Amino acid sequence: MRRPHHDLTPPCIGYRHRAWITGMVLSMLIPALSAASSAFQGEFIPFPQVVLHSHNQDAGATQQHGSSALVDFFYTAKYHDWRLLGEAVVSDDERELERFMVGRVTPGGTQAWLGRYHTALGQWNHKFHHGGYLQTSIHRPGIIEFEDDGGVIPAHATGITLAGDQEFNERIVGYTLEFGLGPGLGNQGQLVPFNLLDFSDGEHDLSVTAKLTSYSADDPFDDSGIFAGHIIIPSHAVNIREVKQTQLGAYTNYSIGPTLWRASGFYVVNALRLAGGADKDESFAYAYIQPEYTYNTIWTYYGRWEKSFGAKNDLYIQQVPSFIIERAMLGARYQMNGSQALKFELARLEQYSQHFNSVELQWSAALP
Amino acid sequence: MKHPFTALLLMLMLIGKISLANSDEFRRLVLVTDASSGITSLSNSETRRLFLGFPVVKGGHSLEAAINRSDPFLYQVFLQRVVYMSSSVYERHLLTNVIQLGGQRPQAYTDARALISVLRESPGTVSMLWESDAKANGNLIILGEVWHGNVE
Repeated sequence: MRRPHHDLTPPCIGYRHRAWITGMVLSMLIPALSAASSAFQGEFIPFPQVVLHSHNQDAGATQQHGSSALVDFFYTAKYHDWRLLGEAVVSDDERELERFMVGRVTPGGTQAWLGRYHTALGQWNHKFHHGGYLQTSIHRPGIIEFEDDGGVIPAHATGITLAGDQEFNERIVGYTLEFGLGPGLGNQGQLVPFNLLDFSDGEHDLSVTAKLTSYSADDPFDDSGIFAGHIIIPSHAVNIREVKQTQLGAYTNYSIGPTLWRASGFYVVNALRLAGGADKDESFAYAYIQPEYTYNTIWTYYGRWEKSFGAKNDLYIQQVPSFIIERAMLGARYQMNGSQALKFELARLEQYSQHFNSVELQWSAALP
Repeated sequence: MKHPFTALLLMLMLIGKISLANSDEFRRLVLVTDASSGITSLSNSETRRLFLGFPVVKGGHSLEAAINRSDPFLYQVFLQRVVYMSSSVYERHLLTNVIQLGGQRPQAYTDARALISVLRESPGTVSMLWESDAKANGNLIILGEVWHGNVE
């Protein structure tokens, strides 16, 4: 008996099915590898955080007074030189597989990865990822925010990463090269990265990033770097068809006694192809400086001044109203036992075309 | 003696001082690995990089760090002399490293005997031990001294 025609069509595999399939494959693969060899090692680290905020006025999509909770589930496995990295964020308004990478790290430190990664632009993506506890401050600088938090340059892409380092006269010089599919510009006022669990989610095009870093072999914390990237951003915004964006920048971390100075500068060029067929080239700069004073092993006092130059009138930036145009912030971080921290911040910022003041308190941790 | 009470007091103070001096023990903290690894030395920067979780290759071996937390004083010396940071900052750094490079943070051992057996069974694993403990285990080789001094 012949089966009806509609039974021969491939089943539609939706988001939940893919998530289940991925979860089942992983749950079978990991114990199998574990049993296969004692060389298999793994770590599961949840990074929970809760933020309470109060603004002196209503601003955009945010509540004037409110709270948010988020858990970043991080998993990594190692089998000889092979590595697996996974990071998924679950919050009251988000469930996203942020990173999923399979790669090889040679004993000399040369790395090759395949999967969804955090781009090498700036320094926050590779130092802190989504682990809020690891950051001194509650928020990342506006220019390097994640796409769904007002980011305007790619934080996530999916493809290949190559990285490594070499020692020259007691200085380590590191490199990172990335080729992948970057985010597209959605019609909801934010960039949309490639979704590993739903390939049909948005349009995506080439994203290329390169970074060079340098630090002393004795002190890997005082590091500096330069980076550059280029991305083609397909757009679903009403008036823009496509954006070709080029990013250039540099960062440094410099310690003087108990004070660490973090600073970075970005220059971003946006070449827009408008809906009417015309072209428009725009550019803006962004800079931040963040001193962190370690008073003792418990208290760290910090501040950050960040500001964009020429971004307000950029048509592309205007599509992302949650982008932070400028912010001045003071904060204190209280380190608790058991890898927990409390952070308190006072800020004056410009976002959603408004100036407002903000008070925030965050509890964050790395478990167990 | 004209002042027997003063003499007695002096004698008691002297005995007390000798007794106090005897309660201090001279100890040496050393960097060790199993002799079969073929490694004979590690520079200060290699040691620091290793315990900060960065890849270090020596004599063809990819080295693994093992943290000795069997003795709180030893761990404090390690923090001050090797990684130059507080315990919470060090743990934060190891987290930062593992979420970037993957793999696993250096394992910490609260039992010195378990640590020594790992050192013996896994050539290329490097840790810190008191010199007396290292010398009591013939298979271990001392790669360098981290600190020496009196311990109460």
